[in-house]
Amino acid sequence: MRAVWSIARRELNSYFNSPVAYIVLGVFLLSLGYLFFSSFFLAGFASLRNMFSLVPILFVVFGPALTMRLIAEERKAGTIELLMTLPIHDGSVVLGKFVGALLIAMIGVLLTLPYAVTVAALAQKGVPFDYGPVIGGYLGLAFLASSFLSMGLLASALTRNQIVAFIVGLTLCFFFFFVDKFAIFFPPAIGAVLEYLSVDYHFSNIARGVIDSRDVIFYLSLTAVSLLITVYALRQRQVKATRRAFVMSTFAVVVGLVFVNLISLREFVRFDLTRDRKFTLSQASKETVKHLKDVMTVSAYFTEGLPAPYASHTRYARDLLEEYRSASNGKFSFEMIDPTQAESAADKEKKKEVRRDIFGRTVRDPTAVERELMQLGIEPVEIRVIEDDQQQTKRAYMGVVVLFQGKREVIPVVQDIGNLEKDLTGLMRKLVRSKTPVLGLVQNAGPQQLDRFKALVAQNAQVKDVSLAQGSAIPSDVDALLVVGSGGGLDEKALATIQQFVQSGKNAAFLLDRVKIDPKTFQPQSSNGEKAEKVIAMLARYGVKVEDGLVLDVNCASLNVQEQRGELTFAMPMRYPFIPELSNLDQNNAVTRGVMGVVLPFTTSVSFKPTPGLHGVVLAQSSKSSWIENAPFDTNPRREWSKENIKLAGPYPLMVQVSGKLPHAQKESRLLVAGASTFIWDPFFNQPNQALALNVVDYLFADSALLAMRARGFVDVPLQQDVKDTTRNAVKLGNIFGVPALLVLYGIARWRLREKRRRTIGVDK
Amino acid sequence: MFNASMPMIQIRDLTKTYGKTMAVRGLTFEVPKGQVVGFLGPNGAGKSTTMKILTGYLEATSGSAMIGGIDVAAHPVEARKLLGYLPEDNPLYDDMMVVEYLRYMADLRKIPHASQAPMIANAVRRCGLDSVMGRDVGALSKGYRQRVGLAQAILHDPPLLILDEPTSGLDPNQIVEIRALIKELGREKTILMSTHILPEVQTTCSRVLIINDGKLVADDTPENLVMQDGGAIRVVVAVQGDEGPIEVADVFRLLESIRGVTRVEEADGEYDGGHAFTLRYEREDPRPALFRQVSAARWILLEMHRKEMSLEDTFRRLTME
Ligand SMILES: Nc1ncnc2c1ncn2[C@@H]1O[C@H](COP(=O)(O)OP(=O)(O)O)[C@@H](O)[C@H]1O
Ligand SMILES: [Mg+2]
Repeated sequence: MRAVWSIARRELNSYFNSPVAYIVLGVFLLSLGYLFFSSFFLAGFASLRNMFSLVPILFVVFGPALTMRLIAEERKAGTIELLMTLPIHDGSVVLGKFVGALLIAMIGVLLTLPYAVTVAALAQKGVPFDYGPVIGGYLGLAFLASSFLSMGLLASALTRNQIVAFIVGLTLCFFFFFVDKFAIFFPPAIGAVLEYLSVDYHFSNIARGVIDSRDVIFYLSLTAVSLLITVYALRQRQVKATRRAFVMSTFAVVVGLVFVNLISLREFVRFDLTRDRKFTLSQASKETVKHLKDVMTVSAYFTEGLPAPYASHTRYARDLLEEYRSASNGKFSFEMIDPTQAESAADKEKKKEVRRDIFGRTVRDPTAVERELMQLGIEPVEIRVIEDDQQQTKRAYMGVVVLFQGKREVIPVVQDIGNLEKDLTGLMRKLVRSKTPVLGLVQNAGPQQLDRFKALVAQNAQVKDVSLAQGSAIPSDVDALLVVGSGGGLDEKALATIQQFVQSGKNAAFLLDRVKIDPKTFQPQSSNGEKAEKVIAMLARYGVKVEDGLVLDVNCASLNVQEQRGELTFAMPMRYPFIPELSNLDQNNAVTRGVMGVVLPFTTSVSFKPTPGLHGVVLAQSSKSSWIENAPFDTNPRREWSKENIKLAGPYPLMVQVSGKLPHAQKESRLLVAGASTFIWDPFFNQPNQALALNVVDYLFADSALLAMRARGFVDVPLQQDVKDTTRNAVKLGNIFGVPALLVLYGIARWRLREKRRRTIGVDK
Repeated sequence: MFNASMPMIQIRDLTKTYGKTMAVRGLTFEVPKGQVVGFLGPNGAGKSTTMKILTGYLEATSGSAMIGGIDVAAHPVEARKLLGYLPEDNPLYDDMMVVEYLRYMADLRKIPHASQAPMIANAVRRCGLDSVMGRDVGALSKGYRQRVGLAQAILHDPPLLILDEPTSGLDPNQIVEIRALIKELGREKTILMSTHILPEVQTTCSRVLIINDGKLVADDTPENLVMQDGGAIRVVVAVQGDEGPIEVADVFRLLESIRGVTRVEEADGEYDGGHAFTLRYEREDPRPALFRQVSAARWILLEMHRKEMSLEDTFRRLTME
């Protein structure tokens, strides 16, 4: 061990005593810095991803350049004879050389730490910077470097000519870097092996921020085999018996390592270093697949060969499903299907038969595969790709089908890869639950038209009308309650029943119409619901305050108003502030995620007052350009919306969610309160509102584990907006030239110290 | 492992082939503790190959080599602990300072840190390296390089030194210095040293091994080797006819008739018009009789001197066939 360290240290010292070191490292840093920072501000993301994708290819060249002299030079100078007649094992010699080279390479890599520091400093404030991929990247580089350097060392042991050593090393590294790029030319089985052999493939795994035993074992195996052969090659002119023993033992080691690698594919551990543990299955997902009572099959239809970022989406999907499988009780299976691979010859022919329709657009008949996918509910998406130097749109698939006991759930298109796990687990839970959940619908002071809403919810759940008149109870099979209307019709007994229901840990939503609207004319009727104070008081105890006045918003939907122009009558769209339109809702909240352009007609404001033990979140609010009007209301769309009369004082909260243990409750429950029920009324039930309504129902039914699952951020943190030009240039120049300059300064200082030491040694002896 | 009662070196039926070349063919010899052995042979005889096998740098094709009873093939690390080695051409790390180089070697020899300084100082003193400790090895003169190589070999105070042509390429003064150093080292260590320079062997070695074409052809003390050839002293005479040339056969007849002379050989060398001969003799000094006889024959005595025989002659005789 001591010999290993002595040799490594000598290599390190002799390297940094020679000017070549500074030239090689300097060129490495200059090229890396230039390549990385020239597009850094253009890309606009505070991410080192680009740097980490540059270093491996640079290593293909710099690795062998670093190792070429290690043994070849000793052989040429004859010093190898000294080294190998010392009382140390050949293995120590090889290991010492290897460690020395690895240290030098890692010094070179760690000299890029200033990049990491500046990049993290330039990240947009408030958005947490993820250090996971940075740590993973550096660790991955250490592994990548060790495999490249061991191959370079092997090359150096084969010859006394450094140039030959360099070229052989370059060839080896090149091969193991690029094998996976040729995978597409081979059948999938061989392609998979080639991909596995690629150091770059394993590096990109680790560089995501996941230390996976599979990748580590691959790197260690490759390094071990290279070093083993190096030990043998170190001694030339071996006799036959030794050669045979070597071939046998190497063969045994290689076979052993292949086995270890194969086993490692089944039994592995991984450490997810990313901030929100992006690549780790959440508890809710694990629980779901661990307790499967029957076989669940997932078919993921992802088109292969898509450009970034879709390619990594495909891989993420595969890894995710792999995780589900390994967490499952063996009843979970999945297949990744590339729809283009599944095409028959006839399909391929069909794709060529392109016609033009009357508008000049190209059309063609769907292939059998496409038709099949359509039947499954998987939808194609058009993606821009560059093929043959031309920008083209390509039809691609990114959908998932989950099958369980003859039931089927589908994600037609994976819109946001960061939510894939959440969506999948949600679907799985839906499929495995033992009974259809029941939504109790309490309608009072109606009649509201909720036919479309009921029909929609009935697709996945059972809707049961619940009447609370004359003290009747809530049926015991009701899982969640939806209270719609003014609340005026609810007497004390009814409220007590509701209160009991939510205190027992069940969830409820209150869509309260404080201003009663005529469902035909949409005119506000008289004042608000008469005896609604009791509901309001109850909600106030839960921290929710329901206001009286209507919220009007400049960001609003339009109303078609009949216009009379001479003889003609036509419909004129007019902006109608009584129907606020909410364009940006929180995309990370389960209720509002994926919803845009919701309209909330005739709504009052609903706010949450901090209450001990309860957690409140505002789900929706009006824009800044909104205001409040109280009865009596002037609902005429033609009225004058003059700036003088209206004071814009928004935003106002319109919908809140409260979770936690309610007063006197045993269990935690969730409430949702909105200032109007109109958004689920048939006339307003447009696409966005349907999405919101479904989310609300899902929210009421969902178990808390599922809700606790967070969306994973796959989007890089953007750079700060207001970086001054001078700062930009300082960052660029400082990193590109500053680091190599520091290196050179160190070299000069080192040289001077050494000269000084040399003189004092000469003198005192 | 090291067995002090075993011979320092034991080589048995050693062979080594490089592809088709057979460099060593069944070599067998032993070197007991304390001997300084000269390892002689013409270029390509297999000296370096033998030493490389002994130091564990090369593997033998067959046969065995042991150091202090330890088989170098089976326990290379243990065996190498016992020896210091100066390879042929003395390879060194040119980019290191002498002091760095010696420290590096001390590290690799696993000399404890505490005793490194005194051991290095000792080797440096003996080899006279004090003044060049701060110089780069690559910048040293040939003589100093050789001393650095020797210092490296004796650094850890090994019982056995294997020196492959330690004086080759040095100037006469440097040769004398290095030879003195080796002689001094020989008082306490076993040394196997190969060389071309025969006087070196006569002055420093207590035993000579001569190999030729991979085989041992002689193994004795330098003195005995010379004596084997029938006495160490010769008389060299050169004669010339007074009037016209003389017959070589006549001279032979005359010389052989002299009392005490046992053998007459024609010697090399140019004696324009004359002939030179080497005489071996027993007991009596043949020179007075020789002078008289030559005068009587009316020949001219060009030259007559006594010559001490050297190893060189033996060496040439043994390795020329
Ligand atoms: N590395 C080698 N490859 C091939 N032949 C070699 C090698 N080293 C030595 N030889 C041959 O082996 C024979 C013995 O060489 P060597 O041991 O160096 O002799 P010596 O040291 O006595 O001059 C020579 O014929 C030489 O040419
Ligand atoms: Mg030689």
